[in-house]
Amino acid sequence: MKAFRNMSIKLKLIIVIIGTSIITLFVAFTTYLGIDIYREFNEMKKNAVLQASLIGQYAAAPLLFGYKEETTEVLNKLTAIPSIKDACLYSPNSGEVFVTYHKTPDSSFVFPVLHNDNASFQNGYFHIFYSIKYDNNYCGSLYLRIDPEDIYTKIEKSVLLMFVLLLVLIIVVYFISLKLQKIISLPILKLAEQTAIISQNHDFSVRLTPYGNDEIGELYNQFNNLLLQILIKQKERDKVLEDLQESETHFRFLFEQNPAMMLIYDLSSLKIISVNEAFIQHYGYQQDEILNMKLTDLYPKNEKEAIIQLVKTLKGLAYTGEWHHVKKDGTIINIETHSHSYIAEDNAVRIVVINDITARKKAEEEILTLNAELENRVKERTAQLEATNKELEAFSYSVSHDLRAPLRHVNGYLELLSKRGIQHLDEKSKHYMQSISEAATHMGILIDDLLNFSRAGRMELKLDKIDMNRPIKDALNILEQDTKNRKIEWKITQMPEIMADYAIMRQVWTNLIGNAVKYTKKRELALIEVGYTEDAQEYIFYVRDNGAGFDMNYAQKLFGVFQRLHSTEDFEGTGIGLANVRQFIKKHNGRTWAEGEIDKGATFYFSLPKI
Amino acid sequence: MVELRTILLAEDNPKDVELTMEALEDSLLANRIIVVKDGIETLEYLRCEGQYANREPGLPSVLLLDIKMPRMDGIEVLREIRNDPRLKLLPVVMLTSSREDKDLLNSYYLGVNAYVVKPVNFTGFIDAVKQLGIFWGLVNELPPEIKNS
Repeated sequence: MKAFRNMSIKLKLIIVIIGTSIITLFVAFTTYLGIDIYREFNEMKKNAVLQASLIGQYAAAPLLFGYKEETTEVLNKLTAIPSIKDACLYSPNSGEVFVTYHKTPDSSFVFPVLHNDNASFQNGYFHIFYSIKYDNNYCGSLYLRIDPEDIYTKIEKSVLLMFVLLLVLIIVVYFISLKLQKIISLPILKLAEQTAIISQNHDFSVRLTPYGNDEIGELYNQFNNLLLQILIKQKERDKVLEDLQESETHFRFLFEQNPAMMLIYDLSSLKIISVNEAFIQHYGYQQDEILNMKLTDLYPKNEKEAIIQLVKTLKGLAYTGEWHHVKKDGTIINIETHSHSYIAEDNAVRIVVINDITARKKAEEEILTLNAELENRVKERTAQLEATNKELEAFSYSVSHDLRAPLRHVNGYLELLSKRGIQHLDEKSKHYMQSISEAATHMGILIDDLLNFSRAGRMELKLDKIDMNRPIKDALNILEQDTKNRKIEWKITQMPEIMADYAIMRQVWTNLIGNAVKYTKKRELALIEVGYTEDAQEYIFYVRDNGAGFDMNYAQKLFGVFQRLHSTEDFEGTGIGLANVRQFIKKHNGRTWAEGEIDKGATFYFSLPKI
Repeated sequence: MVELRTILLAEDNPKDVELTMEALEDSLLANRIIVVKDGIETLEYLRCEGQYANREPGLPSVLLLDIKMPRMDGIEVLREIRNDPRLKLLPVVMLTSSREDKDLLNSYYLGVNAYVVKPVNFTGFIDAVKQLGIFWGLVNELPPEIKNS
């Protein structure tokens, strides 16, 4: 079977056609032969029975009368029929063999016992039993043994003829099949041939023309389809390859022509695998020269070991810090690198982007130097400022001392003068003296205020957590002298706890509430409200009154030193209180402002940041 | 009769001296006041040196010391006095125009016995000086070393 499978289609087809023909012909011939033989035998049987009836007619009378001689004579006539080999007649009474006949006299054939009429084929011979009757009277039986050799000869001839015919037919079939197989095998062979050509030339544009619309024709169409698919795929692949090529060119350009210096090295051997144009330009090495170098060759001696250790720990994208590199001409440059690992041709490599930071480093150093210089300058300036501050202190000290002394003297001598003979002076002179005294006293207060203000500026804060209700209570106590004979309606909110200097807060509240008391003195009923608001960043405290108020156009002047919006005649004071408040609040990083309207009252605010 | 001891007034300003003397005019104290014009002179008087080399020995009952003076200021004088074993127990009262914290602190730090700011107002001034004279010249009990000097 295996051998058959490996045969060429042509041979297979021929074998199949011839085989089928042989089998068909053989069956046909054999059937015909069988029928022929069967018919021959029937004919022979019929003839034998006919012969037996003929002999019976002749032998009936002698047999009935027992005439042995006549009977034998009748039997001997059988010599005319060569196929009858033996014959006998049975006596009608006893049934015993009466007379016999042998074709060949020396035959040892033993006749069978009498049997009913019958024709059978046994042991290669026909056996005929025939009852002889005369006028419907049984006259004995005839037995014939017939050799069918005529039939055998006939059969032999027929078989021989058949084989000759078969052979001739097979030869004819062979030649016919030789022609017929081409109808089937040719398209297949053609297909095979084309396939071989296509696979050899890789030309998928070839198209096959089918021989017909049978299965092979369909196969051709499918094959063409397949070729078309391959062609499309090939075009697609070509496009992808082209794109890939373009992309590869693009990326190569990105590396080669990148303005940033780049280097690729092998992670295990540290050999430099590739550098770009920018690198070569900057470092001065030749391409073939650098490709024979290791990463460590770029570093100065004292950094080689450290870089080897660092490389061992590198993973993924990393900033690898600031290092030094040696250029071909020996110049040492400051660099910083970013690098990333990837696998190239089965080797773990690292691409490094190098940034020359020599100039930046130098600039940084310069900045450091400049900073140091600046710091020195600041120190100098601070020292100068401190010196100036000291001078200022000395100035206020001498003001306190030197200005107060002459004032005291003016007062002293005025007093002495008045003691000596004020009674002799006229009213005008007395008024002049009084005025001199008052002016001197006022100047003394001014000087004291000025000194207090300068002290407030120089004062150091003592920040504590304080209950804001307490400095307000203190301020009210301090102001009791001024409030006890007044009709004042107070509205004072419960205050929060804050971080501030207690003494300063007391001073601030005293000044602000004092002002409110002072500027409401002309009101029948003074209304003074002390309260606060807050947000996330700060507290805003305020003192509101229904007093004289002020013109908002001059609101900014309120907090200036010795700035007053009212005459001393109306409201006494030097105008230092709010300046001090501003100074104090500024020290707490707060703000001060005011709102008011002439004759409608005023509100003074200050803020304190939440710490 | 109570023995009146001298009061040493260190004051460079003649007007202040005059007014002080005037203030003490009524009281017996005026005659016992010795005026020195600056720090150096103050120390010379106390140590019986220079122009006071031949003065009658003995220390005043109190030194009324102005701070701002030529040559050597009051604070320096106080320091010298407290460093001098013979003078260090001498009662010293600062009588000055300065209310500066610095001056107050320095004075007390160096062991001043009292600190009086001269009032601008003359009546106040007279009162202050009178009280000082009476207190330190009469009322105050001196340490034996000074009493017996």
